[in-house]
Amino acid sequence: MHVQTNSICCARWIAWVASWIACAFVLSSAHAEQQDALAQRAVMLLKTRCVSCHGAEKAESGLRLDSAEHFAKGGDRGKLVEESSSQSLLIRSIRGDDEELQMPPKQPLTPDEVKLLEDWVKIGSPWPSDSHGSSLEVQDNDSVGNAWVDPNNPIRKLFGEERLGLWSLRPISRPAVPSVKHDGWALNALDHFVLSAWEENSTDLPLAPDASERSLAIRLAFDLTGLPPELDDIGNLTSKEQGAYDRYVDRLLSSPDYGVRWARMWLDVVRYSDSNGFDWDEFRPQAWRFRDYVVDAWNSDLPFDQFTLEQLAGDELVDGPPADEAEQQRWVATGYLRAGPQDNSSALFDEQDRSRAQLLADLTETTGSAFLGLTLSCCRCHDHKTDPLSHADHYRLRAFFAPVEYADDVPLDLPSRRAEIEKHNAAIDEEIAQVEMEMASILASAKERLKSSEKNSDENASEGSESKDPSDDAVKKSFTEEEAKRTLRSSRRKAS
Amino acid sequence: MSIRTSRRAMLSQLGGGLGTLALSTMLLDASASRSLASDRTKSRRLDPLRPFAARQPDFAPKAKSVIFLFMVGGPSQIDTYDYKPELQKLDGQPVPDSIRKALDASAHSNVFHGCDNKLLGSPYRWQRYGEQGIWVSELFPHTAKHVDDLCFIHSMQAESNNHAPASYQLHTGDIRLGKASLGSWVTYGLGTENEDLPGYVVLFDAGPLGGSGNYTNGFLPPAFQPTRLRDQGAPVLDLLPPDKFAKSQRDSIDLIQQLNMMHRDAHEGATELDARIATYELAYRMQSAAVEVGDFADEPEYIRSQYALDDQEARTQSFGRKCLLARRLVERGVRFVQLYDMPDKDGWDAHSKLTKNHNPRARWTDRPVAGLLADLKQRGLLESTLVIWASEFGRTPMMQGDQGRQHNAAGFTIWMAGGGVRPGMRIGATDEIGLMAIERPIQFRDLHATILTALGLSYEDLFFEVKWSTRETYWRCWKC
Repeated sequence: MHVQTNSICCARWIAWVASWIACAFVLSSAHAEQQDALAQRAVMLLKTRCVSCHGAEKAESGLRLDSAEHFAKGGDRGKLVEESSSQSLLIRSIRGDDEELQMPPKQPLTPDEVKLLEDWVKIGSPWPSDSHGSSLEVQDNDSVGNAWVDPNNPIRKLFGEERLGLWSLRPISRPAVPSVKHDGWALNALDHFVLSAWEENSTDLPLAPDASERSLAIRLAFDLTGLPPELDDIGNLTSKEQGAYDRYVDRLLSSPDYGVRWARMWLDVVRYSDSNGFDWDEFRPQAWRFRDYVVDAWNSDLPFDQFTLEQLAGDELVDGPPADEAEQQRWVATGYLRAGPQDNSSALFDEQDRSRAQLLADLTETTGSAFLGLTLSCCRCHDHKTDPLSHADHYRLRAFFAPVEYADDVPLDLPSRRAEIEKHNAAIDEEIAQVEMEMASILASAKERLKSSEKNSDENASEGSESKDPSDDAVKKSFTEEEAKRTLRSSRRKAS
Repeated sequence: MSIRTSRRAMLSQLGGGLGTLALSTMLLDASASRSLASDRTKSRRLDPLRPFAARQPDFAPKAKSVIFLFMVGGPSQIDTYDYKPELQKLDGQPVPDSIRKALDASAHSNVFHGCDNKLLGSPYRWQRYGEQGIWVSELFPHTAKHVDDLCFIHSMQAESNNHAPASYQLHTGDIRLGKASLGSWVTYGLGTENEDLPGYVVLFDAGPLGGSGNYTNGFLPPAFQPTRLRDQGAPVLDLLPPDKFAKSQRDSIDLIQQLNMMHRDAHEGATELDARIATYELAYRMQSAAVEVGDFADEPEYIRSQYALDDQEARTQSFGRKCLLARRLVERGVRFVQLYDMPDKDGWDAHSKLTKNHNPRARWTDRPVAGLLADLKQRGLLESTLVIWASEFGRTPMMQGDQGRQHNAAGFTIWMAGGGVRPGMRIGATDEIGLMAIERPIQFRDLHATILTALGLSYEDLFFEVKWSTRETYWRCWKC
């Protein structure tokens, strides 16, 4: 009995101590990490605010703050940090206790920054443990290598190596085509992969027979153009004429419907919309240009690198307003930067900063998912939970888009075509003016009737939907009149 | 091998149809009532195929259901429930300097944007009601009779002064689109008491500004999307199969579910498919339950009258039907009913001609809301039903345009009644002209925490654990 009790007690005691040790270990390592983080921030602050005067170049007052050794040595006025930390020279000068000593002299540190250095001095002003932070001498080769090779890469520091195998970051490889038992069924490499998986897994299911020409024609047509095949096309395929299949595929690929169908996929990826996609959801009168650009890109087989470049920075490829159609297309391609949802009403409430931040975040996230195979939405607020992306990465990429400004009055039409367009539009404008006059007279008589009927009825009994948002109306009015004209024009232009 | 086993498991759960499900539901309800959980660290284990199964709250709840009356567009607090005699005195004057300075120094200085620096007194007569003599304007004479049951919060604040972002925040806690709405969180946390009806229901005509992003399930499983019910005719269109398919319907669903389950076995973490599978079963059960709940034939004349179904205005009747439907839903165990007062595109958005906007809207909603409160009370349902009357913001005491008022996210009034709420409480206060909350400012997140607490959910522990299908990584998304 005794022995048993003791052994149980003993086991419990060991478990308790073990858990305590584990706990203490975690605590102390967390403590060390905290101190190291504090040291990194403190030394980074010295680097950004002090080293320009107290570095290798100037070393004013004989003081250098660009390495642990120099820091410990101090300058002409003596050591920076004495035993009694609150009275140390460093702290006294950054606090400005003595006006003559105030450092930095022109733009003192903020209270938070002072507090940071005070805390750092309190723990003995250690320098960061890794070799990277111990010397602050700026070198040309100070840049960080990629995370696969450089242990100092911030991503590598944050997550180690475990997240670097993300599918979208792996190099593209060409796997060996698997060999198969059923000879003759597989016509191409892809078939080999399908067949080998089938042979491994589902031996009790028979292989499906080849599709009929009719099914094939339907599948091809829907896949490539999104439209059903013509009866003739089915007939041609079923006639089993030599080369009929290849000719049909070629014809579908060269049909303009092919671009329309496949542009939709890309337009979905980049969040294209004909309207602003927020609240009032105003129509975007020029958006069709970008839509057509993507359709044309598909139909003209535009190389993907050029397609990418033009959408991200097409305006930078062109000097001044576009002079020819190629340049015009590059401007239009930047419609990509404006595809996301836009809160146009924010200015009415002086909240442009909010909607701008949302817009840039959206653009950053779209760029990540469309071009990089990375989802940058999570790291807008915190380090990514599973992918090798830090909180800072979202904002690093976002910085590229910070200069993007939106404009509606950009001269997109080529000078050579303007006269022609104006002439074409003049006739339509005249037509519109006439219709508008008719509308105005109808509205005027309706308003008259409304007024007389309102006089007869109790004010409260009228439906409440007449409440007006003046600013709302102003925006909508300017939108409807101006844009309706333009829309009409462009639709007429397309129709003519 | 594994495919076959799980398919059999599925058949035992679904293939047995209604009988089996009803049995397991009953068993679960019995065990759930036995004890309340005290283990606050547990994660909410969901059966993805029975997402609405009732789950134990974290502690004893005060309310079982929520009816959220959303007055879309921002009704004016200073013309309804926040009486400001000082404002009446200052009618036509500029905003007093001290108040203007306080506003400018706050995060809400943009509330002034678009307003004239000219105060507009409330055009309404005010009267004291109830034991405490609470001031209510003449806009809500019927609701005013219930003030002793209401708890007013006069110091609500929103982080945006624009409809959609503020509305998203009222629903989800965040001004950005994409977070999960409160109703989704509540049904995720608690399931529902009646699996024959959806646990989370929305009722509206024209929907809130900002669209379905308001009542979205966000990153929660798609099963926690709300179901929109109609207040007239069949609550859901095409719910019943044509006669010739009625007989074979169960067989068809079983076959579809079998195919769905095969697909599910091969696609771990396909929550959309889980939702689809659960929805098939829900729709099947709703064929009787939803038709029954939407049929008001068994409601006596005096109840219909209480909800203003006999009103001469169609919009009053329409809102009354929604309130009555809401009561019938919570009576049958539906967890969360979100009801929008948005009969047209404007809502309470009175940028000009305040009276022309507010008078009819108050008329359309006052009798139905009062009727709902009275009816819940006479049935003893008010104790277990939390009723909330709120909007995304209020309106400024400053004038805008022609006798109108601008949005006001700096301070506005909401009220709550029923389960878990102390009747007659008044929390917080705005300054003397009703512009900004100066006493106990309260954010929507705090409101959510209160609602969750009333429902027996520990808001600090309400999280959803995301598991990446390819890795053993978990990510916890919290509500508050």
